[in-house]
Amino acid sequence: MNIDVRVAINVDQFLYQPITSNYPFVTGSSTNSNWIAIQSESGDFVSYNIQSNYIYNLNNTNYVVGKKILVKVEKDENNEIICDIPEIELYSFGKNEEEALKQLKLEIIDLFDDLISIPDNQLGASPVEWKKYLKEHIVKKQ
Amino acid sequence: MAIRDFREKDIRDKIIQKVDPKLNHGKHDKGYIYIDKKIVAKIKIPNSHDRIMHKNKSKYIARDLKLDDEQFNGLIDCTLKGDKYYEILRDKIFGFENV
Repeated sequence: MNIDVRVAINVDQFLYQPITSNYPFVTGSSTNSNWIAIQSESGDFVSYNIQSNYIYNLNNTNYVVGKKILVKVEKDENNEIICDIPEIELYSFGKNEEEALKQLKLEIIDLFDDLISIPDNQLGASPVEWKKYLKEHIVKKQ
Repeated sequence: MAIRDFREKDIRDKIIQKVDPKLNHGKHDKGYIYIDKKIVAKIKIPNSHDRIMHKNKSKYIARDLKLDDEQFNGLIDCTLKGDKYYEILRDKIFGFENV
């Protein structure tokens, strides 16, 4: 099969798969999901179903989401759901999307509280970026 | 080379042995990875189960560790030792910060 699309792709604002090899892949979309098929060295195509969702609250009255948080939602081989926020490299798993999002919200709060309590000079470049992202999206009530 | 299937407990054990993150215990153990007394990465550590973790999940752990697929396989397989891991991490962190 000849497929000549070989650039990195952007799925619903996510630069999802940093394709640096010459492996061919194809993409497509439906109303609320996107898919990517990537051909392995053995010639098999592996497809990934990717959806997105937004977090508007953290299920905790002490925190306000000022700017909605975009979440990548993926189903794994065991039909488990993986929710991921690539900008802060934070992810969670669940039997369904609701469970994964609930866990992700807890993880967001943990990370926010951890990073807020640590001075920037004790953080590397990535954690500083995570902290900046979280401060742009979340407000903790006094 | 793609990330291979590993038992969750093997992934856990190797991360704790070789990476030795500063752990916070919870539903899933989490930890921070330090270089020069700075947090440079975070890691979510699988529980000590015999079940297999496939690539779609373990790729997130590899991302946390800032390893590519082959390096991650090596870390869990034992070909990549802890000191080498920190060499790789240091290169990636300093490389990133110098961009």
